Amino acid sequence: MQNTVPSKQVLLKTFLTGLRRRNITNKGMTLLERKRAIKFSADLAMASVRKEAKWSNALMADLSRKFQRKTVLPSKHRHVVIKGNKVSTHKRGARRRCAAKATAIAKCIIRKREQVLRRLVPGGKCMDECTLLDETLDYLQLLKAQVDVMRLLVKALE
Amino acid sequence: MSSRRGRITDEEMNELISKLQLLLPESRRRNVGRASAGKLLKETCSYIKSLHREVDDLSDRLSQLMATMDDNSPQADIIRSLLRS
Repeated sequence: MQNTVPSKQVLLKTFLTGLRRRNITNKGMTLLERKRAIKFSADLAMASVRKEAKWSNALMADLSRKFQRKTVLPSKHRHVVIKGNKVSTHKRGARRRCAAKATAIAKCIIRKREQVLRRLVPGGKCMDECTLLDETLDYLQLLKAQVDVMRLLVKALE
Repeated sequence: MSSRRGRITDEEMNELISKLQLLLPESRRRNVGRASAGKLLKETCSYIKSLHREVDDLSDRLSQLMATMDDNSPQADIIRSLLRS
C-alpha cells in the first residue's frame, strides 16, 4: 500500500470544512455536542484524505452509521467476535514440553496483543495478519497527522 | 505488500517491525529495544490509545474555544484565513 505522508495542509482544510458543515458555531450546541461533532469531523478528515486504505473504508462505514443514528443511544450493531486460537501443548514428551511451552506462550502473547490491535485499528477485526500490520502503519501516520493538525488549530485559536 | 493472505513470513515481519519502530516516538522506541514482535505490538497499541486520548482532549479544548465563536469573532477570521491559504 502506498504510504505517502499526507499533506497536513490538505488534512487541515478537510477538517475545517467538515467542522463548518457540522455547523460548529451553532450557539444552541452544548459543549458535548460540539465535541462530538469535532471528533466526527476529525475522523472524517482522516478517512477522506486516505480513501484507498481498508481502515479508512471501515471508519467511513462506522461514521455513516453514527450519522444516521444521530443520537446517543447505545449501539446495537453486531460485534464481530474473533475466537482466539487455543494454544495446545502436547501431553506426551516431557522433555519437549518446556521448549514447546515457551514458544506457545510467546505466540499466545503475540496473538493477544494482535487482538488488541485489531480493536484499535478501524476494520482490524476482518484483516489477516499481514494486512493488519500494513494498515496499522498507515493508520498511525494519519492519526499522528490529525493530532498535529488539531494541536495547530488549538494553538491558533488560543 | 499485502498480496499474501494468512501468516506472514519472517522477512515481511522484520520489514514491518522496523517501519513500525520508526513511526513510534523516541521515548517509546526505547521501550521496544531490539526487534521483538511482542513488545512492538504492545507499544504500538499503547501509542494508538494515547493518540486516541489526545484527539479526545483536543476535541474538548476545541469545543470550548469555539463556544464563543461567531462569524465576526477573531477565531472565525483565523479559520477563514486557514481555509484560504
